[in-house]
Amino acid sequence: MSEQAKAVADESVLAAAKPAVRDPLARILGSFKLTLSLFALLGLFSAFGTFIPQGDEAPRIAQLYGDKAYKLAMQLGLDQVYHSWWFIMVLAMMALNLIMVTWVRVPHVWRISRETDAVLLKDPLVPKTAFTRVWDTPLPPLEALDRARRSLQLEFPRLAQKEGPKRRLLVGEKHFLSLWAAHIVHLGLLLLLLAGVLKILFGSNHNVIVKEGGQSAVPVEQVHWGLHVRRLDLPFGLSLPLPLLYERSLDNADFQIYLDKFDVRYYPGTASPSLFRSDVKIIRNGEIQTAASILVNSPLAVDGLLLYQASWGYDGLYSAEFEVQLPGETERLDIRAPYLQRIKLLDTGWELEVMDFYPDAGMASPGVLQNNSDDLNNPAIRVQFWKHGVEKSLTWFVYAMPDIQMAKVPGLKLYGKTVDPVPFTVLQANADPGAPIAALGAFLVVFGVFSAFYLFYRKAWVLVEPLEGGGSRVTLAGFVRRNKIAFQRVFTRLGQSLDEGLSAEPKTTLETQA
Amino acid sequence: MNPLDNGFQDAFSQGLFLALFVLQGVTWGFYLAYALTKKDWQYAWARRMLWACVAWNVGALIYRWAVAGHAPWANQYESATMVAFGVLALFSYFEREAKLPILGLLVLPAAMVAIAAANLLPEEYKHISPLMPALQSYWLKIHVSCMLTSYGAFASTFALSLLYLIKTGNWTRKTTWIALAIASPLAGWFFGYVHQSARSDFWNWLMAATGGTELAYGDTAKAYAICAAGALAIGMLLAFALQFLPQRLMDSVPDAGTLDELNYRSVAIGFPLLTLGIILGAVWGHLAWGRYWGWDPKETWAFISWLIFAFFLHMRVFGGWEGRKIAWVGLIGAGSIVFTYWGVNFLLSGLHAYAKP
Repeated sequence: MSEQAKAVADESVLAAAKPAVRDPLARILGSFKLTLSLFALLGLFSAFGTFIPQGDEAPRIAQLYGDKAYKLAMQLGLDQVYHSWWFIMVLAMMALNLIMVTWVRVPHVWRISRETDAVLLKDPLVPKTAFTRVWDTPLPPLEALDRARRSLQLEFPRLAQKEGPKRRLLVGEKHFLSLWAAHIVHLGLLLLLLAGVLKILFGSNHNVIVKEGGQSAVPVEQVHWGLHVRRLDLPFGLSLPLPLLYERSLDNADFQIYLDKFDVRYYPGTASPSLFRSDVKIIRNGEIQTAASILVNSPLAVDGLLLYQASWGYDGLYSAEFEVQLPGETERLDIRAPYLQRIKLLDTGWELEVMDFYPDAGMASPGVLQNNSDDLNNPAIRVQFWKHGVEKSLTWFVYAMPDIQMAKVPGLKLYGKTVDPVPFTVLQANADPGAPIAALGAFLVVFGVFSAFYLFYRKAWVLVEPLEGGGSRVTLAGFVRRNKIAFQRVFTRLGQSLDEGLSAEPKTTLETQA
Repeated sequence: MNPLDNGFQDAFSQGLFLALFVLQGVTWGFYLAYALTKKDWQYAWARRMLWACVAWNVGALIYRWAVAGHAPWANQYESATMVAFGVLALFSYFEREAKLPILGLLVLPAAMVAIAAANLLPEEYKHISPLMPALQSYWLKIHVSCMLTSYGAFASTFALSLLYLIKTGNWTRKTTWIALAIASPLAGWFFGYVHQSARSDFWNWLMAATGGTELAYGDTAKAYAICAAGALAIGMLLAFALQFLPQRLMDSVPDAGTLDELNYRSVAIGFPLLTLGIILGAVWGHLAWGRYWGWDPKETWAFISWLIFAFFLHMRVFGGWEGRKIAWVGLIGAGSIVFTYWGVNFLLSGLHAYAKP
């Protein structure tokens, strides 16, 4: 085995030294094997959810794997893997395991960092993994201690001094926090899980659809404290009564949203959107409180709710422009028809009204149109015609297919020009009381992981004890948990400094005489 | 017509990355020559060329950034060039620290594969494309660069784990044939799948050449079979070439302990970056979509990769695993990273579907 690999093995021996835990339940819940099993289960279940259609897509399971598989998937909650009881159980077990691991191991880490000092004063032994060097010097103990202090301070500016009956000890320590890195990560992960639980229990997430020039209420989940009983659904049709200390209800926020304008822009010459923006006004008690723009990546915060730009589309028209050729006429009439308004076609006796609008028309079956989406891909209008007040024709007209005329009146034809559709925006109103906790958890996870790998806990001791024939014995010891190669360089520098310091002529001072 | 695709600049940008591939090949040649002949000047040139590759990669990325007007990792092609940079930059660091020229023979091909895979994408995937609104955020620069650099580190994990298994195990010629016979048709199938999804020029040509139509299941299957057979042929050629690997090449591989330690170090670089990347992605998700975690396939597979490398570290530090066991975990983790990065983009749908134009 190489020197580097051996060093790591030493470290793992120290790290794996099992702390004494007597309670068998604590031992199981805080066990390393449980951690590994949970890693495997969590990974496996998470992967399931990416291959099995989830949520609204679940009916595809029947297409892919058959009806029996679909039924079984429904019973086991495979259509909602990440919200299924068994997945939540694994997450809960993971949380418990993190707590128990910390509970079991924290005293052990504390011992690593603290108890060695006491041991050194009783016994000159140093930990197995430590670096050591010993000097015998004619210097009296106090002067040797003073010179050792100056050397040790080169690497460890803040030193603690401990006094034994005969021995004196200097202790220097660096990056104490990194000793706790793994537990900081565990704490961070626990906070992330807690934040997720808070979001599920107390969060709110609903869409608000607002048409341009229109106003909408903002749905929000309210929490009402008090004892309530709910039924908890279990698999295979079972359920359990579950007492809860609160109840949620879907109410409206104290404000409404008015959409001034929805702006969608495209990169020139392409169908690639460059911008979606909702210019909104916040209306409170019938008055405009504030105006703001909501963009993707730039939500608006109002009363603890964050309003996100989620989606958009078209619903209805401002107006449609087209030409009409009436029966028996050779000239076409230019029409600009406001939506849902009956208009007269000059003095011809004809009237029309645009009754309906599909932004993305498609054929459902021969002769039957349907709307496929809210995108303006294939606009179609439905126009009702009257002559002298008598209904004559109700027909769909697809702008992209002018040759297909569905009017049942011979000679009545439409020629499309443009449509001016009314856009709507879909805003996501989200309240997440767990967000600050999630932010703290995320910070701790990142800080802990980087501390674990890039901050190296290091400690050095200088033990000074008197020799029987006069003079002193100075022992330099060092300990590091990781990156022994770098610490070897530090230790060598300390040794060289002590070589020089301890070999210098003794000073005659009151202290050394004492 | 793509407004950012002004012909020359787009073609020049792609040309820069093709030239990088050539440069990487030459660098690899110097490493190979040194491994075979042990002449110091070859190693010196290999190192110079390695730095030239890093500089060239940086230059090509800066050029694309300047032309596109946004960080050049907004689609699959661009991100692959960034992964290549991650591999080269981190390997340069390793190279300086460990001075193990043999590693260049395995790690450099990872960067070459990244560039080659990018160039094998359908033509429309390679163009400089405008940034969709969801990506117009400074988080793109931070989150994506973190993730892609971590992938670069895990490419080293893959190479080191594989080298360890070859060095210490009974990795026979037969095993090489079998491994390549399984892996290469799969790669060919995936290549066909990507091109069929994009209805690329290559795919249209293939359908025309075989006289098939998209609507006939048998014709599509035939086209897939041709892709798989082509890849199998390349794999078999590679397996054949590997039969002639001189023993002195294997002799120059460092001892198992050093490989094991370097493997651990590559994870020690990749894991914090992956953690940071996932967390930064969560922050971005919170700002853009109103949730920091949504079990989107990309997020989920990044989490699975994180779990695998967390397992690696726990077993390495606390479980006493080292050597072959840990090398296998490293390989599985690297496989998961490949799926997270490449497979999810094409095989699964989700909110992170930015790979396609």
